[in-house]
Amino acid sequence: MTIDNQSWRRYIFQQVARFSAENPVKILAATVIVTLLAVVIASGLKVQMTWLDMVPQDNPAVAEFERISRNFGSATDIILTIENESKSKMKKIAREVAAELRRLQSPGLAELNGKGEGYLFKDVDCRLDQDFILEHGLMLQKTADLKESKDIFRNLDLVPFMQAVNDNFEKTYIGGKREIRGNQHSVIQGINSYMDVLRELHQLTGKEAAAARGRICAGNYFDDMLYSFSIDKKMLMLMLQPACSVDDIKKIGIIVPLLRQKLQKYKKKYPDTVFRHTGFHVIMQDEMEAATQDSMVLTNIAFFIILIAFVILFRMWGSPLIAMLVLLVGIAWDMALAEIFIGRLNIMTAMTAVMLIGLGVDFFAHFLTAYNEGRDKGMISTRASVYAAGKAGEGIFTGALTTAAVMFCLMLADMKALQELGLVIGCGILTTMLASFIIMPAVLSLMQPREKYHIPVWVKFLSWLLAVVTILPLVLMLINYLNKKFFSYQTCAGQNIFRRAGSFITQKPRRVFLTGIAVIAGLSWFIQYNWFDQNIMNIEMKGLESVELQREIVRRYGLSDTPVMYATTNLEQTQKLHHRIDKHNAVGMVNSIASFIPLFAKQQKRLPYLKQIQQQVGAYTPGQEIDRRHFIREVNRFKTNLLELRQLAAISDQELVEKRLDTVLVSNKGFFTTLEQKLKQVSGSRLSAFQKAFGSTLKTVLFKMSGPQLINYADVPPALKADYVNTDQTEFLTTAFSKKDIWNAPTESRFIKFMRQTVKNVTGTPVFMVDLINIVAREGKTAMYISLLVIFLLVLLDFKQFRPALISLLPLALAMLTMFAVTGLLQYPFNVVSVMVLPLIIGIGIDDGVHILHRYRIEKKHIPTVLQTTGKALFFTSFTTMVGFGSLMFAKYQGFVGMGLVLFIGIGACFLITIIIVPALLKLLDSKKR
Amino acid sequence: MKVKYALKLFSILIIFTPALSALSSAAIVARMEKAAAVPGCRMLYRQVIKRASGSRSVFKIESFTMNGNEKQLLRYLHPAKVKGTAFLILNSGDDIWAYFSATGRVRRIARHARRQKMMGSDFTYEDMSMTAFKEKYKAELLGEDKVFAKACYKLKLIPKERSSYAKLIVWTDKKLFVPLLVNYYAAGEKTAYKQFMQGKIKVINSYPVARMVIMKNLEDNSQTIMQVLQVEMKPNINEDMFVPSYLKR
Repeated sequence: MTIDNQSWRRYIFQQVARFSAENPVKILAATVIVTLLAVVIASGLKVQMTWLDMVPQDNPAVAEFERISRNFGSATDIILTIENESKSKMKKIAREVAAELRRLQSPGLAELNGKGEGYLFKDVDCRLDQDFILEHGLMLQKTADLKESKDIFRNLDLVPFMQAVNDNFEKTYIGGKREIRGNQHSVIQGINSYMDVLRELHQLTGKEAAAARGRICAGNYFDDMLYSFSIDKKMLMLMLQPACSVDDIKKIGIIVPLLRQKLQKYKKKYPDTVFRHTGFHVIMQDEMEAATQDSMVLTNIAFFIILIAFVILFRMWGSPLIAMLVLLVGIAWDMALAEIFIGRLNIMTAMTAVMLIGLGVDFFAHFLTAYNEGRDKGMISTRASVYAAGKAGEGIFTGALTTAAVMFCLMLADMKALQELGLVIGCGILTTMLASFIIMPAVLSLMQPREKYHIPVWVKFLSWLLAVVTILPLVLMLINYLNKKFFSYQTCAGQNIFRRAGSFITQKPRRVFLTGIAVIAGLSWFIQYNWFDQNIMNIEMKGLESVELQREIVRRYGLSDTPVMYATTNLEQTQKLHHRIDKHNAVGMVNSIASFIPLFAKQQKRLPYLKQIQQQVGAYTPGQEIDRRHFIREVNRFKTNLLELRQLAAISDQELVEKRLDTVLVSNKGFFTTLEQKLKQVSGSRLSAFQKAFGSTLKTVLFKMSGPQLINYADVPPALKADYVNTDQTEFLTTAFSKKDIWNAPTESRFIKFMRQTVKNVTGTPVFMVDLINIVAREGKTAMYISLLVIFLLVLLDFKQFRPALISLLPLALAMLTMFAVTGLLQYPFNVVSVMVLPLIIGIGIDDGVHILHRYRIEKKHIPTVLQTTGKALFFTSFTTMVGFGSLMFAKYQGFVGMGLVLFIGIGACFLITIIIVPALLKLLDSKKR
Repeated sequence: MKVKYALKLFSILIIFTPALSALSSAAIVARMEKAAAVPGCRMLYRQVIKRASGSRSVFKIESFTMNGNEKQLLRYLHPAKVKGTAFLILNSGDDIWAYFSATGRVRRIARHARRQKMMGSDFTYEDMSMTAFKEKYKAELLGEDKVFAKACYKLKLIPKERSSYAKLIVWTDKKLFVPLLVNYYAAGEKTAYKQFMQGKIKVINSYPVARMVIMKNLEDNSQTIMQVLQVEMKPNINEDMFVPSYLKR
C-alpha cells in the first residue's frame, strides 16, 4: 500500500486508521474500558442552573452577596403561598405549616452539615411578632396615617366610626390632599379593613353570634397586619429561610424535594387550599430537573433525527449504530473531563450533549463519505479507511481544531459560565474527533461482510454472553444480514444534486455570486429590527409553577418579587438609609430592623398623636343605641366614595386600587344592597351587641397599641431581630423592593439606579443582572474578536496563504449578517444566553469554508466534484448540527430556545453561503487569474 | 461722491439689517403668548399613556378651553369605566373640580395641585397652563437652531415663582411661535428629565394648533401622547361652562 506523498499530518491519520482497522477488537476493548471509567467519573456531575455563575467572580456585588449569605444565612428565602377564600383559615393553616416546617429535619442534610442537626430551615416566618405589634403597632404607622387614625378612632361606635372613615376618604384621597399614587397599599389596607367590618355586619344572626362577630371583627382589624396577605386577601405568603445558600446545589437537592413532599401532604389534608412555592432555591431545583429532562429528551430527539438522516443519506443500515457509538464515547469522555475540571454543568453547558451530537457527528460524516468513495473504487475496508483518513483527515482535524480553539478562547472571557462552556465544548469536540479517528475504522472493519476477517473464539463467546444482557450483538448480526442483502456502495443519496449545482456554478459564477450577495444585502434591511430582551424571567422555563408564581406575586402584592439588599454596621445608619430609600417613588417596600424601630425624631413626632388616641379610646364607652338610618346613610356614602375612588384610580393609573375596588364593587355586586336590607331588618339588640363587642375589643387593642413609649433596640424580640441582624449584632440587613417589575429592562430601572447611587454596596440578583447584561455586551464582543483572530491565524497556518484564509472566513461574515437579518425579520429578541453563543457560530461555521477549500485544492479546482463530495458531506454535517441545535428550540428553558434558533439560522446560513457563494467566488477568482 | 456715500450706506444696511430685525427674547415670548391665547376652543383628542412597564391606557377626551388654558373643562368619553367623568381646572390647577359619572356628584378635589400629574398622564397641571410665559418666566434668547427641520428660536426660561422645574429650554418655531420642543430640568441637573414635543401644526382661524403632542418622562421611561381628532375654534365660548355646576350637564 502506498502512502500519499503529502503532509506528515496525513501520514499520521493514515497510520492511525490502518492500526485501528487492522486491530478492531483490541481498539474496541480498550475503548470500552476507558469509556466505562469515564462514565463512572461523569456520574458525579450535577446540573447547577444559577445566574451567579454568569457574573465575574470579582464583581463587587457578587462578593457582597456571598458575604451577606455567609453572615446572615441564606440571603434569599423560599416563598410559600397559601390560597383560600377564608382569611381565618389561611392564618390557621399558615401557623400550623410554619410550626411543622421549623421542626423539619433531614439525615442527609445533617450528614452534609457534619453535625447532628439537619434542620431544613433556619427560620419560617408566617407572621410578625404579635406581642410586639400589639404593644407598638401604632408607633410604626406613618405620621400622616396616624393623623387620619386619630380622627377615625375618636369614637368607636359604628355610626361615628363610619362617618370618620368617610370624611377621611373624601378629604384625603378623593379630595386630593394625598395622592393615591404613593399610597396605594395604605388605601387598599384601609378599604380592606372597613370592608371586613361591613362583611361581619352582613353575617349577623343571633345576639350571641353578633357579639362574637364584633369581637372577631375588632380582633382582625389589626391582626391581618401581622400576616403577609396579598392585596385581594386571597393569598398569604410565608417566608422560609433555607439552611443553605443559593449556590449549594447538594443541600438544595435535599431541601426542595422534602419540602414538596410536605406540601403534598398538606394538599391532601386541605383540599380546598392551594399551596405553591417559589424562590431562587426552588427555581434552581426546578431548572436542574427540567434541564436534565430536557437534555435527555432533546438528545434523544436529535439523535433519532440524525440517525434517520444517516440511513437515508448514506444508505447504510449500520451507519446509525456507528455514529451512536462514536458520539456516546466522545460525549462520555467529555463529561468525565467536565467532572474532573469543573464538577458540574451550568446554564450554558447543560445542553452540551445535544450540541455535541450535532457537532461531533460531522467528523463521522466526512470520514464515512470518503470511506464510501474508497469502497466505490473497489478498496477493501482497511484500505478504504486509510484512503478516508488521507482525504478527509486533514479537513476533519483542521475543522475540529479551529472549532475547539474558538471554544477555548471563550475561557479568556471574564464570566465563569462562558469559561466553562468553552472548556466543555472545546474538549467535547476534541474527544469526539478522537473517538471518530480511533473507533470508526475498527467498527467499519468489523461490519464489512466481504472481509475475510477471523474473529477469535473468545470474542465470539463474549458476544454471546453479552447477548444475554444486551441486544447489541443481536443487532449487529441483524445488520450484517441486512448488509448482505441490501448493502450497496452505489452512489449515496443526493450526490447528483450537488454535482449539478457545481456544474451550474461553474458555468455562471458571476450571476450566482451577485445574486447571493444581493439577497443577503436585501435581507440586511431587517437587521435594524433586532432587539435585546433584558427580562431574564422571559428566558426561564415556561409553565414552571415556581416561575409563574413569581410573576403572580408581582401582580397580587404590587411589588417586584426580588429585592436588592445591603448591609450596614450601625442602627442609626440603617434607620437613616431606610427612611431615605422608603421615600423614593420607585421603591415599593423596604424591610429592615428600622421597620420596627423608626428614627427617634419620627417617634417623637408621633408621640402626641399616640397620646391623643390613647386618651380618646381610654375615654370611650360603647353606646347602647345605634341610629340605624344614619348608619345606613354612612354605609351608602362609603359605597359612593369607593365608586368615585375607583374612577379616579382608573384615570390616574392606580391599577392596584382600581383592581381591588373592581373586586369589591363589581365582583361583589349587590353586596351593599343586601347589606342595607339586612341592616334594616336586623334587630336593634343584635346591632348593639355587635357595636358593644366591636367597640370594646377595638378599644382594648388600640389602648395597648397606642402606648406612648418609644421603641428602642432592646424592645425588639430576638426572633424579629434574627431576620435583620447577624449573630454578632455587628451588621444589619436591609432589603428593598421595586414598585415595578424589576425584571423589565433592569438596566433602565430607576429603582436600581437610585439604589446604587444611594448605597455603594447594594447587591442582589437584579444588580447582578444589570452588570451581567453590560458584561455580556462587552465580553460578547471581545469573545467574537478573539475568536475571529484565532480562527484567522489557525486557518492562515493551515493554508499558508492569505487568500484562501480570507475566503474561508467569508461564509462566516456573511452568515452572521444573514443570521441577524433573519432574527430581525422574525423580531425574535436576543437575550443574555443567545448573545453568548454567537462565538459558537464562528467556531462551527469556519469548518464549512475550511473543508470546501481543502477539497478544492485536492480536486484541482473542479467544483462539481468538490460539491459532489464535500458539498454533500457539508450538507449532512450542517443538517445534523442544525438538528442538534435546532432541537434546543423545543426546550422548556426559554434561554435554550433562543440559543437554538440563533445557532440553527447561523449554521444554515454558513452552509448555504459555503456551497453557493464561495464556489462562485473561487471560480471568478480563478478565471480572473487566468 | 454721492454714489460712494450711497454705496457705503447701502453696505452698512445690508450688514446690520438682520441684526436690527432680530427679535428680542421678550418679543419672542410675547409672540408665543399671543399664539397660545386662543380665546375659546373645543377639541376632541385621544390620549395614550404608555408606561415603563409596557402597559398603556387609552382615553378619548373632549375638552373646552378659554383664554389659552386658563380655564379648562375635560370630559372623558372612553373607556366605559370613566365615561362621563369630567374635570374643571381653573387657575392653572389651583382649583379642580371633578364630576363622577358613577355617582353623579361634583366634588372639589386637589387644591394647589399644579405640580401633580394630571389624571395619570405625564403632564402636570403646570404643564397644561404653560401659556402665560411673560408673567411666569424669565426668558433668555440662546440663539437659533433647527428642530424637526424647522427653523427655531432657542430660549431658556427660568420660572419666576415656585415650580417643579428649575429651567426649561424651549425651541420655538420662528414663523408660528409655537414651542416645538421643550426640555425640562430639575434643580442642579444637567440632563433634562422631561421632554415635550408638538407637531402636525395647522393654523386655524390664525391660531396654530398642534395636532400631535407628546410628553416624555425620561426618568420613568413613560410617555403621554395626545392626538387631536377634531378642533373647533370658539371665539365666543360661553364662560358659564367653566363653573362646577356645569360639570353635571
